Amino acid sequence: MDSRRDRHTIVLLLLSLAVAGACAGDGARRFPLRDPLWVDPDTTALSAKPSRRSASAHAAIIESTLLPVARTLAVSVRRPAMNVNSLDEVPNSAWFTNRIGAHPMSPEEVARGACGDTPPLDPQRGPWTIVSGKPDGSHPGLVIKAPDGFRYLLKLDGPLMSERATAADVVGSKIYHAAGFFVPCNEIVAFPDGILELAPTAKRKDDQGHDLPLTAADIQQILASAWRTRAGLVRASASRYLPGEPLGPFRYKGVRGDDPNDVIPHEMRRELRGSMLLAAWIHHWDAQEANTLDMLIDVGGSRFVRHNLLDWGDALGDVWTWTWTRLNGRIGHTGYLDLDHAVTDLVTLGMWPRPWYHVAPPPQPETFGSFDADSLEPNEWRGTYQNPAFREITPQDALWAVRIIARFSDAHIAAIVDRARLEDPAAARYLADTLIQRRDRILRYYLTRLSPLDRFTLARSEPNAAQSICFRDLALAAHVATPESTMYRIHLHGGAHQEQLLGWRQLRPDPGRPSETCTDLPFSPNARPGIRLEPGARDDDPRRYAVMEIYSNQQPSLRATALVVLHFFDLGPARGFRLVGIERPDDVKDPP
Amino acid sequence: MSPGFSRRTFPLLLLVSSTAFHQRAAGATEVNQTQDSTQGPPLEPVAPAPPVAPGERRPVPDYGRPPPPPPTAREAFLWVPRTLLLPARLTTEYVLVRPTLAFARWGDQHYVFRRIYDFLTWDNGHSGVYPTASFDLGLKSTIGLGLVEGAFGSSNNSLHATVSASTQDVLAFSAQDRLRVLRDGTGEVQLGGGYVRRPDGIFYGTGADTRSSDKTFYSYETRALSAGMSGNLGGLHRAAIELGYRDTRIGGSTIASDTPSLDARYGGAGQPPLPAGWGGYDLAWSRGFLVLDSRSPRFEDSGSGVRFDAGASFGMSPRDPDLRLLAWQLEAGGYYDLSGARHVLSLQIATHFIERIGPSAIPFSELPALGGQDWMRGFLAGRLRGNSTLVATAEYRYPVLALVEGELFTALGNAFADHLADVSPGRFFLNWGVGLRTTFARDTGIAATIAFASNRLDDPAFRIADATRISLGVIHGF
Repeated sequence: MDSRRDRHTIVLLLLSLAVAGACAGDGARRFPLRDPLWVDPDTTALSAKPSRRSASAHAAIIESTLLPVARTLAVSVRRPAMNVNSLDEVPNSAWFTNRIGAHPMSPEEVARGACGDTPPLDPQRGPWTIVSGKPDGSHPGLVIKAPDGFRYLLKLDGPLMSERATAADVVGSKIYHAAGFFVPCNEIVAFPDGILELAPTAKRKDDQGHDLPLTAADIQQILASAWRTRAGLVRASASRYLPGEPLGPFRYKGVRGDDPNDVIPHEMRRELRGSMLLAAWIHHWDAQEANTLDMLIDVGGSRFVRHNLLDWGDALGDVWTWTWTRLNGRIGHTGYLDLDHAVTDLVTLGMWPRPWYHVAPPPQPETFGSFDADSLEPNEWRGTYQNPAFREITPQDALWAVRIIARFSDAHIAAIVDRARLEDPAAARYLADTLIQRRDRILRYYLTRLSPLDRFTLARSEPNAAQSICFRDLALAAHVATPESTMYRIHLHGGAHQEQLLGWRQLRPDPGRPSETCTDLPFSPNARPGIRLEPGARDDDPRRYAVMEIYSNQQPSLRATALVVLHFFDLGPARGFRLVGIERPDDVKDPP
Repeated sequence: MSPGFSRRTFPLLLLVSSTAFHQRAAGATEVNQTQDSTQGPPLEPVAPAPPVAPGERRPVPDYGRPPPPPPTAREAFLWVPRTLLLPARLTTEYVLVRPTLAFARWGDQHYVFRRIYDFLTWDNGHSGVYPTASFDLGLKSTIGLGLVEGAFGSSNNSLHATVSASTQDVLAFSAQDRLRVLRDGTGEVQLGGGYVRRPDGIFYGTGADTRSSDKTFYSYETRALSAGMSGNLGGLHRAAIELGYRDTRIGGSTIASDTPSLDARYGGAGQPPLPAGWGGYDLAWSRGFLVLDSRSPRFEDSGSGVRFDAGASFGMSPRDPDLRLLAWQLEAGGYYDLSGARHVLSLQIATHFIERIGPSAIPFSELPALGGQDWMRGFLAGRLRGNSTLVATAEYRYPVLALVEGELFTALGNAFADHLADVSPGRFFLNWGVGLRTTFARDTGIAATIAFASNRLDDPAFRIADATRISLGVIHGF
């Protein structure tokens, strides 16, 4: 009896502390008055070289099965990503660089990807010296040293699914590079057998990691099953070796213990979480640690680790079984060992409706396997192994990735597909159309449920003139919402605790430029929080603080469907408002 | 409210604001644009960060976001289950997850798993040895090894062998050579033999009136040889003929203190006589069966169809020419796929008969029996024995994982006298249970089953779960 009473006491005490904690604080959350952090200083010179590690396929199985169990027992909830700056964006770092959207990129620039202006591997200029190879497995390949001085990994298509694997490797690298990730330069190359020359010291590894001589017979075995162009040339994806020294893959959870720059747990990094939507877009179901690579690079005498993503050979529709089977219908909807799905199906006797129960072969199964647009469910997409970072994705992380995806125009996609150099025009058309349709499905899903507003700018025509706050509506720009049914309601609050409503207004998009909207800030000259402050008040005085809530409706009703909150400091009529923070809550309460 | 916004001016401000449907073209972003925008970072490269002292890590940057809001009441309440589950969580995390992950990574880094696989397999994985295990609550669990040699002497010939054992005198091994005699692999000749020695044969008596309290154990040792020919008739239709010989020794068993040996309850003064076959017998037999099954062999097709199985066997003892028997069976099943995606409801009925056609009584171990992995799975193998059996099973199977099915089943069945002479509705047992099984192949797989068995339906003290069976191991058949 006493022990039961003790347990009750402990539970009540915990509850009380928790509720007290919930009630603590003055309720005012303010961003500091300072420039946003755009560069994460994780390039500190390393004093010791990190160790080299290898990928673990079995760890992926453990992470898919046991980690979810541990997470369930921890009763954990998804927490906000850590490496997000005050404007709800990701700073540049050794993981990510803001590219498309942060700075305009032409379709040609996007299509060049990580290759930049460096000329591609030239099949007219040989010989290509084979230094190592991988004759076995589902994706055989060769490592060559080319006359241009670079080393390349040549990845070949097999006899099935024609040009998909090499196309996917190139398309994936271009998209991820434009999005901001560090990736190798991948390009399609078609070469004659005769350009290859086997180095006397060429090696391959057997299944147990032992070095064996690479022989001409091995080369013949690789080339015998390789997909060839109509001209008889061998088609390959040539992946230029990344600069630096390879250190092996990074993990999607935790930090690398021997890298002192790596202080943000990887599952708490927004760019890794958000890459799930890029993976969903191109159907990259094998986004796991085996397809990552840390490189120790030297910049100006300073060595640090750069984190790369690579190998998209599974994207654009690779399948689990070579003939179309119901198993392939599971790709993208569930993994090999998703216990949450298994338990649900077990308990519900299989009655829970699953998309893979009724899936038909997609239009181009012989090339693009399971790659289509209609079966994509953006918020439900899954890889075959559970990715620890993907599991932690929040709506804000997804929306960040969506803002990047929204910046890929049809022209960008066409230029990327052109780099895949598919010989069949119908296949190229199908690929481009499907990428566009999948992009639009992702945009439609997220931009009609969360705030579609982006690109907030403050502007004025002259000093002391009224400022304007302008924003871009990505849903209208992407045509997943209509101007006629879109409405914005803006509330401006001020004061130390944002308790004062300084004004509100309702706007509809300008039919002439529906995706770009501006409004005055403040709404009237006297409706600014700093107006009554004494002269000489500090710039960061809490009384200067202002919060603008922009509610957006996309349906013909007045109920708000999304909210973005902008935070300002009012520095006075002369200097104007200063944008210091952006929040995009997913919990939208209808404004009063 | 601050002095600037009195109760009188505030509504006026609201009125002014609310009536201003005001917007300006985006072209107003002209001269003297302020610095604050989301245009992104500067394009110029940034100088490297200053070094960190050896052994230290750089501090986590200040990303300029305010601390998160205080937890809501719902988030605070989550600490209750978190606290209650903390021991389980810590155990899972530090005893299971982390060591397993570390072992997996170490094993992959040193190619341990690959080396084990390469050691156990050859011929590109077409041949190899594999571990086996069998667990059946109430019987002796076994572990063992299986061998498959895919090209034994020739590419058309394969050898399959198993050996299993456990503590307390359990040993079994078998070997079978399979020769494909038709080019398309539809015909096969088999030659095989085996040995089994176990102390946990169960005997509850024969006929319809057995009770759970009648349980006894016996030990047996069987040596067997067989040869046969089978053919695939298209799809899942198949036929086979076999002949063979087995020599069985039967004796007492004292493996369990709470369950008597068979000869402690039979054969004594005032006790029923020992069952026929006690001590041992040998039998030369021949058998033929035909299976007609309209279901598609492909798992991705619908699971609907019908199945009909008929078989007969004849046996004669070389040592006791008076022992001659004829056994025959009929099985029928209907399968309906509710969704087309392998949510299959089925009803299967089976009846088995045996006839004594010589003067000697049929050994009890040759009688048709129910229980085990095929029929009446709530009972151990051999629970129900008689000159005839009748059983009906309703089952529902559905996909759970990519290659795993769940199943629910219920069955009514019992053993009876000759030709089901004493069948009546109340004389059946009810079985029911759940299970999981793999679907790598139709005929074999790994199955886990939890099943329950009632006592007889007409028992005044009817109990729906009079016995429990938990099993895990390799299964054969549908």
